[in-house]
Amino acid sequence: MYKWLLALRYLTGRRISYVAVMVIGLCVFVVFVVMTVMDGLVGQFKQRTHDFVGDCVVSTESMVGFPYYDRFVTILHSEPIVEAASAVINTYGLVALASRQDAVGLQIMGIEPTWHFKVTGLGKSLYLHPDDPNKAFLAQHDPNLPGCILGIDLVLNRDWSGSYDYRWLPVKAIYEISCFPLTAKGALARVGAGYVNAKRFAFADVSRTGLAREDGGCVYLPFGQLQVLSGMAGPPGRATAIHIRFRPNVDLMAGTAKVAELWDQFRKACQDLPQSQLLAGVKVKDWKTYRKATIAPMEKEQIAMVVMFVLLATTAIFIVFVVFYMIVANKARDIGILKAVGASFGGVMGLMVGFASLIGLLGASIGLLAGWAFLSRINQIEYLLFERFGFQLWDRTIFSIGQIPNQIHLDLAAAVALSAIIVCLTGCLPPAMKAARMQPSDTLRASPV
Amino acid sequence: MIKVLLWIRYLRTRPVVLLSITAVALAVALLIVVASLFTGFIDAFERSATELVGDVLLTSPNRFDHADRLAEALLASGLVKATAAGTQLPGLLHLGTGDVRPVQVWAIEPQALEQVTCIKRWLITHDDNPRIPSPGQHVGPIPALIGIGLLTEPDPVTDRYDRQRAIGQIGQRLVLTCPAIPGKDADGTAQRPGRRTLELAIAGIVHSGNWLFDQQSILVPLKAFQTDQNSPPALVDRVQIRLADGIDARDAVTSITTIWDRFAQQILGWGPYQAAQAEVLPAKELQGRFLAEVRKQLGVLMVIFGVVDMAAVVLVFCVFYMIVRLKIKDIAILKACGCPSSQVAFLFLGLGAVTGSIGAAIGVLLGWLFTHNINHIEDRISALLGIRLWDSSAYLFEQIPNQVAWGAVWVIVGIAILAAAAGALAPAVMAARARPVEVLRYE
Repeated sequence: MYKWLLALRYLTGRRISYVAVMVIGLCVFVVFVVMTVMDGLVGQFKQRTHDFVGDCVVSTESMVGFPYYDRFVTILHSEPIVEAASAVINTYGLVALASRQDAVGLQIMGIEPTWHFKVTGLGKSLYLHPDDPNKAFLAQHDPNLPGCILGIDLVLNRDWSGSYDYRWLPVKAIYEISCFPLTAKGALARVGAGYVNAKRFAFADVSRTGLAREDGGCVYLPFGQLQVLSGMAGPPGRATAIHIRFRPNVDLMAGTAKVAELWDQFRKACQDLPQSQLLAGVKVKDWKTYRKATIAPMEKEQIAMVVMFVLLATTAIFIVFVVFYMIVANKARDIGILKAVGASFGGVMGLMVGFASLIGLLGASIGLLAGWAFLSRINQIEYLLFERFGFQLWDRTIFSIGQIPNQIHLDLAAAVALSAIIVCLTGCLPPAMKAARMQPSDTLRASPV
Repeated sequence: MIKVLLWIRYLRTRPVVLLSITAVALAVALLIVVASLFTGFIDAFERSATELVGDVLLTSPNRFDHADRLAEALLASGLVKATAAGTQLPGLLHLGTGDVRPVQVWAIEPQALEQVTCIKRWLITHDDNPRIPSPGQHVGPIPALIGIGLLTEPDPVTDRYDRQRAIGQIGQRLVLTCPAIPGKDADGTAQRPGRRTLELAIAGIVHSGNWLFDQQSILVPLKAFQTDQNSPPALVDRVQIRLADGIDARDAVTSITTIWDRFAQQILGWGPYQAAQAEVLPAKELQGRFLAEVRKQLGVLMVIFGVVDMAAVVLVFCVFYMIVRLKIKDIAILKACGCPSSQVAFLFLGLGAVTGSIGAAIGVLLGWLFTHNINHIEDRISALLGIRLWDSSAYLFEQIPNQVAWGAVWVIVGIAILAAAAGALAPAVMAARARPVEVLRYE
């Protein structure tokens, strides 16, 4: 009991302790705020990617695609772990406004809305007919033409707040989309006949997924239309990917492994069929692995930031060390008396460790509280800064970021608080050991001037 | 003299001062590395723009002809060393079995481009001394220069392209489709926009080190876009300009704009409004908005780390407070011997500044060592962990910028020394106010 009483007394009685508390609080505040925002950005990006991709993808990198995708989709739908599966074509095309000479090379994605909206969040990202597969490709201005959905950044500009003015939607626009149709061997299907397939599509809707690459460089077409354009209509018809959504209680890794096992069986069963060699290049990946190239750099930056903060924590350790060193030097006689009346090595160590924990706990509490107060108003603060000085943390017209993420994650707060306590304990250890090893005869002896 | 002796004595006998020096060194090193990486990235971006585009770029939303006469006028001004007129188009490239890529087509005469950009330095062919192919030398498919990233993917661990594999594809046939560049018929009427499909052959590979350029670009002679050999040259919409030695791009912009206005109105017969739609910009400012954002992010990071580095100031305070408390009797003796309070304060302030200076010097050394060798360090980590920390597809360049931003270094060093002195201020005042009669009295 005396340990905690003394620890409390040192904390309140020694003003130098406040310095340690203040520094720990400052460090916790900065780390908590920065990591919350960064964690929010990475989490937001991952969530949007997950929404866009689904849980698992069976895909080939070759634009030739693979056949018999429809049979495998049927197999997947009969599996209890699968909620829905949707065949997709990913290719590239030249997209031009039919009335103008401007064109742009874009990713073209062929989807079947009924299934794809069940697998992914693409349906919810539409503006005119959200989550309505029957109207997704409905071209209101020219119902005779098939419709196309465009990534929102292709047709609208973001304003300073990251919002779009939907009044400027090009509802009457007609686009000519050209693709290279490929044979099953990957050669050009129309050699000597102009090489390319081109078709006109009317504007049907825009998609705002929140992913810069998709919103600024992707056009969605009806699966069947793109299959013809890209020479994949067959027979047998080909697709480049199957996106899968698992049922809610299915573990991602277990579900992916099950799909991989099903795919192996399916590939073996199809080995005597025409074009079955195309099945060899098909891989089964969970959504994180499938989009590793875009997710990994963000995660690495997050780790780099943590490493930098760990380096800076060294200074906090030094401060705690100096504070404890001073306290031990000043309280040498108290410690000598404690040891003279029977306090053990462990008892004195416990006193110092308790004191360090109190400093860490108090500093972490102050830092977290200040961090919470700051984060809860961070968007208002940014708005004020923008209104008065034109400063924005990120220029929303350039970056696809809405509000600054400020959702508090308790696990992050706990990790930061725990780190603060560890920093305090590390800093206090050498002085604490010194105190615990003190001999009463040395400390209580009257010293000369 | 006594102050210097005491500084040396305190630094030698009080190991706790080393903690302050270490903290300052760490803070300075970290700030130098962060500033150097960001500044290096911005420099690399601007340098890359100059190497790819030239010093100044003139772009017009309306295509025009008689680019040769504009070039003559620009060269006659004495400001300009070389020009290359052309256009950029989006295209779709069939590279072979099952491989179709969206590309950026640089429709431009490669030999003119050689005068303006660093393309010759980046060119890879079978020849040890590669030469830019002349558009008149070929028979059959049109010779094209292609970005290395269109032929081979960087290794996932080393992030390096397989150049030998790319060289093996020289001569390979490609099919490109892109919007046609409308020219003018013999009677001067503008041709209708359409689409062109061209058969190309790889004449050389371009490896610039700029990921985006290497992944997306194909250079096709402008002549290939003429409807036939006898038709007038295809229209252009951009002129890349290399300035004469010693001419500043910003200074040249006004003169080039004047030359352009005169050319557009007198030769092309355009009105002032149409001529003014063209934009003349130094190449370094082409991505000005993006680079401004990068600079802002650097500022935000420096503020964040600067705030955390305030802990180093507090540490200096704690250490000096401790020294003053422990050495209060020495101080009292000094004062009793006639040392004025201001000298005592200066003794500790000076010691603070010396601590900051030594810490900053070590920090500069550490920061320089880390920044200078950052690519080797990254290679080692990649070899050890099997993952690439710096990915050119995410950060545009193959090499991590490793030039120390000396401009920022001196600012950081100055602030570090001042901050260390500021940390020592309160203990210095405390020491100056010590009264010998109270301190030296025996109880």
